Amino acid sequence: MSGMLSTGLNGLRAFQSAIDVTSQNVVNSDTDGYVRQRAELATRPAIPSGGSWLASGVKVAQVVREVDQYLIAQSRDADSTATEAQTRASETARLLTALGSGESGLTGTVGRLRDAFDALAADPASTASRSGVLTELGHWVDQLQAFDTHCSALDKEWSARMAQAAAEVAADGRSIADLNRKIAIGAAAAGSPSPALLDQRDRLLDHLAGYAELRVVDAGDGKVNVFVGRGRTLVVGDTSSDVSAADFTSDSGGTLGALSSCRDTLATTRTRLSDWARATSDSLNATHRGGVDARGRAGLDLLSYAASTTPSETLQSLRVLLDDPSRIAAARTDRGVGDNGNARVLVENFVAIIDGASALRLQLADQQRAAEREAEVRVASKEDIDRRRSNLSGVNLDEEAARLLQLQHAYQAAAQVVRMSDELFRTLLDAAR
Amino acid sequence: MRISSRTFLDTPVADMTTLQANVDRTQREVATGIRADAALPGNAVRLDALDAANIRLARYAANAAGVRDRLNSCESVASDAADVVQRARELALQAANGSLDAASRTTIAIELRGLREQLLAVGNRTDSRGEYLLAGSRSWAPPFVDRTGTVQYDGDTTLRSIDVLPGRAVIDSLHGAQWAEVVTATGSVDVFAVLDGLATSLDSVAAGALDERDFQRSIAASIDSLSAGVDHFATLRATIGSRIAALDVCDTTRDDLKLAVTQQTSALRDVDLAAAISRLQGQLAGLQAARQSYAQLSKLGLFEYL
Repeated sequence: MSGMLSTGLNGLRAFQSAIDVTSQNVVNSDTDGYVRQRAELATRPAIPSGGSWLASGVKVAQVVREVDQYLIAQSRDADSTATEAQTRASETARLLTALGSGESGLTGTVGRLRDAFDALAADPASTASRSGVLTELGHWVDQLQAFDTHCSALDKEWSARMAQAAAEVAADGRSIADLNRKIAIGAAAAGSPSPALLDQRDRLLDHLAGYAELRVVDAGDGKVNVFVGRGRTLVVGDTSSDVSAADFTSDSGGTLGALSSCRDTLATTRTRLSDWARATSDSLNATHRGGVDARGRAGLDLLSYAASTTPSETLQSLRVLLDDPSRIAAARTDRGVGDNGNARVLVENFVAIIDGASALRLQLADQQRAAEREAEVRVASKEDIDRRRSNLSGVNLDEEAARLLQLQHAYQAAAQVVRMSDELFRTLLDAAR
Repeated sequence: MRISSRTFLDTPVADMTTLQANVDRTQREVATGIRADAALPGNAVRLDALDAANIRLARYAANAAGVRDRLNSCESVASDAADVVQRARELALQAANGSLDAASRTTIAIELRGLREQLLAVGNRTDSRGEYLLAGSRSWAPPFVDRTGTVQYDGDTTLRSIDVLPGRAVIDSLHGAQWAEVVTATGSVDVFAVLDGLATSLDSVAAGALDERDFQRSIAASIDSLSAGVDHFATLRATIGSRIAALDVCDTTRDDLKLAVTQQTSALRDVDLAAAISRLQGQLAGLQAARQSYAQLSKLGLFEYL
């Protein structure tokens, strides 16, 4: 009969613990990164008694965290790639915006420059059409320089954001190393790692995945080793290494990979723009030198730039050399102020010039569009994986309510067992009186 | 399938956000009349190319108008010259009459000199911008200059081609050498020289310095030259006329191109209002339904019944 009492009592205790676990789930149903827990009940070891085994009740065998490490790794990968594509799409769009569209854009400005040369060819004798060419050349140079300045500002901003992101990665690394230590100590003391600390570490790892691709390796004792980007060591056991922006490249994934890739795109675009500006200057100069100006003098160079420098320096050094409209060499023959022979050749140069500008912009636009499409796909797949992860690890309140009812009934039944054993004792005592 | 309470309640919220964004986008399309996807980089590049094509077409139209203006002036330069030469020929025929007395021939010579001045003025006409039409590329100075009784051509033979369509250029005037040079059976002569020679021989015969036979031979040659001159200017007029006709064809082609560009631009940029409004209504109905179903969903839960 003492067996009955202890069985009833440890039943009460086990159900109480299970109710505690369920309550914890209920109150944390809306907590970010909370992983639901489940109390697993098991029979207590039976006691041998005269050739048979006597029942000895129930206990909470373990509290299980409902996680799937494979799904978590998938979800972090999905987050890295989705964040990478999204950031790349939105930042490339900013670069594209800097090139401008419509009338104020690069192609619009080149279009107007061509139109000014067209006007010169239509009316070479007028000072207005000659000045128009100089004005539009000036606008063209101004716009290229404004774009280059904008590029410098963007590059600076991206580089600063990379430094900041790398600093956050390093800070997360330190916190993870610290948690590794605490989790190991807790596990050694209590026999299993603290679910709250595991939740906290998982949240940090999720946070890291947005910055760069992540590899998490189990290091035993509840600790994990963390590698970021492409194999850069961040955390080994209790120790974390410092990382900087220089450790990340365009294939690092996450925000850092995206920014690094955008900086590469910016450098390429700037080089192509500078090459295009040089080719444009060279071809216009060559044609212009072949002509004759309004006073019968041989044509001079229209534009100049500093050769053999960085693309940015080339663009910033671009200058319009002429300021006297009569110096425009529209004519082929000397003395012919009404001759438009050379102006027509100047206009012909623009077929290649405009093709160059359009190709430059189109290539960037294609890249941006591709990034955007990739982002759409990646985000959709990330959302899908996140939903699966949440469905596994998140709390379902109906389920918990049902479980509470079930445990309440079990608890009441166990209480009945205790009361019954009390009554049986009383019967025995009365009999002995 | 097990669904966490958070997914169960968060998913409809995310869906409502998407629906709201769609409504907002369509609403803006209706308000501005510009398609939301017109700003997408690929479309923006195509729209820019179409805008550039429009600028080109406007430039070609302005060029064609300028060329037409100049060609019309050239046509009147040719036809006015034809009138002058025609009149000179009539006078020459009149003067050839052997019964005419010296005074009448002197009068005819005076009128011929007047015609020469008239022709000089025609040859030195300018266009609406003040450029000398027949000067070739030396268009800021009068091309025909009277130097000690002889008219000389100071212009050159460089002519301007002006683009009026992609790859289609039209020459926008005549040069003076071409205009003044009359080709006859015996060679080419300058029209001013013909008039000068005619007036001179009339004066000579009136003064008795030239006998009637030589005069008749000379005036016969002049009449031949003037007849050739009338033909010459008629031919020039026809040449100019054919260029103007070519301009008309180019105008039609340009209008077609412009219409195509406008249609393509509109297809990329303009909202089909009827379609957009009906889409907006559909989206609003969807949003409303999502709100109602969310209100229902959020009330469900076993805890409500405990």
